[in-house]
Amino acid sequence: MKLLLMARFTFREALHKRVVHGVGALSVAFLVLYGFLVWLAYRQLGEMGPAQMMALQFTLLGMNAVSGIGALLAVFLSVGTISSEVEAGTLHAIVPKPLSRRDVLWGKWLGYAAMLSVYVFLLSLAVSGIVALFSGSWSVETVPSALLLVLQSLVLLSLSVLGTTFLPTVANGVVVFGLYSVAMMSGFMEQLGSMIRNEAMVNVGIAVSLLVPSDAMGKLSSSLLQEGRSYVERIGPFMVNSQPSMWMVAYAILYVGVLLVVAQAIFSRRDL
Amino acid sequence: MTEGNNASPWGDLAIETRHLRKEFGHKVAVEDLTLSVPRGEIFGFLGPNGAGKTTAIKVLMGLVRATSGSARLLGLPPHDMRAKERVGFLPELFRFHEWLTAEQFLDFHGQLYGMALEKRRGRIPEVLDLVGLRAEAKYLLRTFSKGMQQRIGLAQAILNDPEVVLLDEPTSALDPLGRRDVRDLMRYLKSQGRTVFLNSHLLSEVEMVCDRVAIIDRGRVIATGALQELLAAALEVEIEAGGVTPAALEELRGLSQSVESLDGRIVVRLADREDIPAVAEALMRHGGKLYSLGRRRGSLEDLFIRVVEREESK
Repeated sequence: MKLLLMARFTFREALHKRVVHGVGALSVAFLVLYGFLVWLAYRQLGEMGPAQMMALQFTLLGMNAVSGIGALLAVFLSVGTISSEVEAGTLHAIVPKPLSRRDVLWGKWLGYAAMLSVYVFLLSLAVSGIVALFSGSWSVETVPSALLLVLQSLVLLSLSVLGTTFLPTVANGVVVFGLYSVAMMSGFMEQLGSMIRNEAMVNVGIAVSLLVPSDAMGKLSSSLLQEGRSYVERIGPFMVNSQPSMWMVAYAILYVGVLLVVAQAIFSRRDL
Repeated sequence: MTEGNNASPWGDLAIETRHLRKEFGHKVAVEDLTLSVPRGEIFGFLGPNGAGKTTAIKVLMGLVRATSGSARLLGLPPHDMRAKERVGFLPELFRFHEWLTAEQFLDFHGQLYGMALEKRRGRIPEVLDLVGLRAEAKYLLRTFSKGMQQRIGLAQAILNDPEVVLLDEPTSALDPLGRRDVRDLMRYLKSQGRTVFLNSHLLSEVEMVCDRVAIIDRGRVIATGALQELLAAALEVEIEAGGVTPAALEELRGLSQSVESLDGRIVVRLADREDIPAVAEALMRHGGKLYSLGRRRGSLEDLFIRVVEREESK
């Protein structure tokens, strides 16, 4: 099947991209630094006692960093996958071959999605593994929480793939990062609104997360880890007051599908 | 002269377009292109810059959608998978996946064509031979010179042993030896019964290999036909004569489309072979001494410049 051929090829191609080498090196540096910080903290906390309590905060910190790096990778991998290949003429040798443009577009998406999923999932496990190593406790919620971060990166990937079908590469990068930041900011407003019981702020936050459900996935991921924990354990920069509905997961999956269908429609009509 | 369509509508043609039109916004890239390319020939597609050649090829390859009119490859619409399987294409400006070796690159394109592993294993060394890159099979494309990239581009265009090969400026990056290799390759493809559609600026090259040409300008065909007939139609006579009076020249101008006279040598362009004796007769009647009179075969370049200039002066 040509779609899977394109996906495999895109995955292999991504392994040769500098951005992937860069993010790989960055991830190793991050894990070393993170491990060192957790080790430093536990060396001291071990004597004081509240180590168990801090495990959640460290996991949340690590997972938020994974979320950020995953977002970066999602956008940089795919930001010019159509636009720059039209410019370079690479697609001019591929599109005339006996495969449909749908195969080209979905295949590319699938290749990047596979790479992001593996990367974000493994990095999440590494983060929670480091915390488990020092705190001695491992939470089963880590797995669904990591999967939600995967979904978050897929939302951004799909936005970027949609954008590259009609926007120049740099403009697409600016737009997708803009949307990512707006979603993050309104996610923060939503949490704040919930804390001070301002319904309007919460509603705006929800509306924006429907437009760009990336931050909602990040919040859901964080809140899963916090479930059933005491207020004292949860309190910190990553505390989730207003938990997005679990329906948002279904919504985000549907959202990804719709973006791809629209991207396919645009790409199929586009002159190359 | 224009090709007639008295045969079955799309039947024996490798490529056909009818009243093809493509607009990009307000800009008309191809105005009204009607073209017939018979199978088994090398067809030269010529025209000045901006004439719409590359756009027309992109329509044929399904890269660009026509605004109106129709295009057929082997009797099928350009998006039809059955057509795509039997066509090869070398795009004009391209950059291939530089992280692959020549062999890996061809293997990927073979898979895109849907060729089975066995078939790819047999065919890839064959095409590398045909384009002269056998020794570079394991080299990364990143290390290839422009000429080598053009050769590997040719290799992917003929990988599936296509019935029709469209080449958009296949020799622009090649040195004279490379160009000769590509000409030999085109002749080889023709000997295998394949059709080659060649877009090239190098008129001497086109003249050497093409059976048939179409010259287009502003997105229309302004001349098309068998190359030898087109060149023969440009009938030129070169005369060496003494004592040619202005009155004699005046009479020659009445007979011909153009008369150039320099140092006793006169070049007269005629519409009809029967005018040649009339030219000789007119010269002698005015008391001229005729030393020599010979027919000159027109070059494709002369023809090209003449028809394009005539078109642009309209």
